[in-house]
Amino acid sequence: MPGTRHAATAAAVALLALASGCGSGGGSDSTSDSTSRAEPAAGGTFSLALASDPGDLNPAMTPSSVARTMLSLAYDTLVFQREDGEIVSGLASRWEATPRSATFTLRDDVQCADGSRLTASDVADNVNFITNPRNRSPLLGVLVNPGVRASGDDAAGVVTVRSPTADGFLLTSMASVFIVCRGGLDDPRSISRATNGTGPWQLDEAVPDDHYSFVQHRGYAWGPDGARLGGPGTPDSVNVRIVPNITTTANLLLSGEVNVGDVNGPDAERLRDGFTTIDTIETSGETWFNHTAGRPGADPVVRRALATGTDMTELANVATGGNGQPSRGFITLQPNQCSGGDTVSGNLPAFDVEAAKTLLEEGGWRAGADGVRSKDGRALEISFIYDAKGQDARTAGAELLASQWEDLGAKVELRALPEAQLNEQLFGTGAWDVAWATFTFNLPSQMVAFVSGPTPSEGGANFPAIRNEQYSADAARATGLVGKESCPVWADAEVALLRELDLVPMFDSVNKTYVKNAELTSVGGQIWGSSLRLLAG
Amino acid sequence: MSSTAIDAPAADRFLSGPWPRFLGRRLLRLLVSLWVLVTFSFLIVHLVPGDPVRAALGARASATSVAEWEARLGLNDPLLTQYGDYVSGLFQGRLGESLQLRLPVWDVISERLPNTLQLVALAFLLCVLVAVPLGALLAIRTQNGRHRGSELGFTAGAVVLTTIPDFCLAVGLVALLGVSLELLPVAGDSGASSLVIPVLALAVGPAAALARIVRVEMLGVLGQDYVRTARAKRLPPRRVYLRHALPNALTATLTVGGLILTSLIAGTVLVENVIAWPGLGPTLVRSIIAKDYPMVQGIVLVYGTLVLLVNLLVDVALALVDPRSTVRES
Repeated sequence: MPGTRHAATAAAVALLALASGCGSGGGSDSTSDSTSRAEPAAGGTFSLALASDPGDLNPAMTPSSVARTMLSLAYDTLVFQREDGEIVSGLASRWEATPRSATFTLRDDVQCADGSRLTASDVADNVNFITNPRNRSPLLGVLVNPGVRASGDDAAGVVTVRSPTADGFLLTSMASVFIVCRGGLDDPRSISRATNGTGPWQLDEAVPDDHYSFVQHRGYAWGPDGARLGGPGTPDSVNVRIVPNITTTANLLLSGEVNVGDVNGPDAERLRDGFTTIDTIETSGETWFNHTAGRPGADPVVRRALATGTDMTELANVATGGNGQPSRGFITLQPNQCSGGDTVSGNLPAFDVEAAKTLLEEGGWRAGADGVRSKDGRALEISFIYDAKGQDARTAGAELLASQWEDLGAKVELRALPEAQLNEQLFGTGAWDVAWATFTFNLPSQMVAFVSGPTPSEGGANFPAIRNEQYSADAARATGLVGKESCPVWADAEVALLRELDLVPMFDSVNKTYVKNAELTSVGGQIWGSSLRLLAG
Repeated sequence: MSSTAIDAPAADRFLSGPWPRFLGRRLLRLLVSLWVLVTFSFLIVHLVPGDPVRAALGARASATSVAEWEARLGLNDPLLTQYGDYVSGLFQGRLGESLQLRLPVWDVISERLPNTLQLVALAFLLCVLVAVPLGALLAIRTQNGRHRGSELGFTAGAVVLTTIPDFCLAVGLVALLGVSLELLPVAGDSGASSLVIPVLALAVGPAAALARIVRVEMLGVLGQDYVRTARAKRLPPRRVYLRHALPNALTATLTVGGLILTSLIAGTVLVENVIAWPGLGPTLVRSIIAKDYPMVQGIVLVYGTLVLLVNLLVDVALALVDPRSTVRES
């Protein structure tokens, strides 16, 4: 089924891109209302530093978190989701949802930046564009499930979204679908380098790889929960600057030339005073085992022994430069309807080197003359790949992990790869045994394709080739439940993965976004454009 | 009729002189160099191990996308066909399309090249305007072993400034003038004030090196018989130095100036990255990291062509200043 294969691949592309964007500091994916006691400034330019160019600006065709952060200034969604998961009004003033359908009643005052009126048909066509496989939207299967269809009643201003299967996150997913106006729908190429939405800011100048300037959308009054654009401290314009270098971002923050930027590592030491911060949890220590037959990770004894022989506390300190914390689950992005739980504690083995060696011994892995264990003539050789992300601490962490595993009798080959090559190894060649790959999700359903179902060679995204029947059963059951009802079942699914140590979250790290002389609300990497405020410095 | 009668011997003299051969050799050398450059930039894609499109788009990219881009880049054609298409595309101003930005490479280059050239031109201008007077003045002041302190101070200072890499100087200037004193923008292009740090960072080292060369050349010229004769004729010192000495000291200066100009072009790559200048440097670095080969090809070609053109211009300028070199060459 080419369509299925395509959808799965697209989902993989999108989620990885989302994750990698977060990893490279491309946007704040936590929730925050930065606060300050300073007085509002009188107009001016709100300046935001992004780590890379957003590329294609068509919101239906870009999975990049950097792009989505920027496009959230120019595009609205039917509804918005608060930090605590509560859904509030956006383009729709009212809504009703079941696992199979959601109905949205549009506000009657919504105007597009080009002056046209947004209709229910326009909104429906946005959803249908993503779910039409011919359009090859990378958001298909990630933000919107395959098979979802929408229809619009222009007279009544009602949009109905239907799912062919029960989808507990149908309403939530609509809080992530940016709505493009008719002009952009009719000519998608026109919005590859420009914007045509209803959002509070409209792109005025685009200089790829350098900066993007936005001006106010006059009369904007349909923000989250009816928020308007205006009031004390509202900037006259927004300038998004592309600054790939973290040191330069720190310098710009210090000199006050940008108001918001991500800074991690040693440069963060310079930003202690005068800043508010937005912290984002990243699953940077997720340790993926290749379960393909013949690989060491296919043997559950090896997975358990390696996890048991790892001092995860020490590893977290070293690999994050003291900026890490123990993992509590696989879903770290906010808003997460199932947040607050802890599926990891108690489900990972305690650090015990002798127990780890015993496990290997009992599992038939005998030490040779050179100290390397082997079984049935196959040595315990592990190809460990990771993305250093330009952080020395991460490399030091990988070396520590390798030394701990070598103490158990494994031979570890470390390979630090750029992100593109890492992904090529994971999804293409399959020539790896263990990997640190950062995947960041805010819905448990987004993870399913990566840990179950077809492998990349079969047209899927399950690159570690995990076969965990309990997880698959729990995930299928959870998908049909609505909202928080599904959380315990999703938690069971995660625990199923942890019990088999199919995937081991060894530690998380904290990505820091610094804010100076400004306030903003950012939820799940999407900026609420009407919330931008400049403060007197 | 009369003008023809006058011009014909002049043209004959030019054609029978060393200039046509000199210019012909130089142009031929330029064409050969350009051909090597074009061929090298073409081979960049083919020297990459594995599939360059797969490497650029990532393993997650669908087979359809990869096939589409391979077709768009013509990578499925025979190598010679690809080479022919590439060269003919260059003649039509086509450098391909960026895999990362999804924009024509030439559009990106044409938008950013002026910013890079602006830095190079201003840095070179500053370099010459500082180095030539400074070197000449120091030569006059320290000739015949006078003012040893000035000589030592100048030499030591010049050596120190020459050894500081331009990107390190840029970092220091950003820290001092941008972050600490908040006198100048720390990054980007926000007006004329944004030019100060990158131009200083690029110009200081070469200016120090050039000033030393100007001083040494000037000292050599000041010891020549014709300068002594000019002095004996009691010509005003300004006339002796500016009219008789300085022009003769500039031959080597011009040669070194050409080298400095080409090094400034290369130097912009790092300095522009330090201060996030919207020139070609940051785009080149990001394109290399992202394996955006069409963009890398295009920028390498542009940098290379700039260097070759500068070399040609310096050669011609040298020949004009010192015609003997033309004769020797020919």
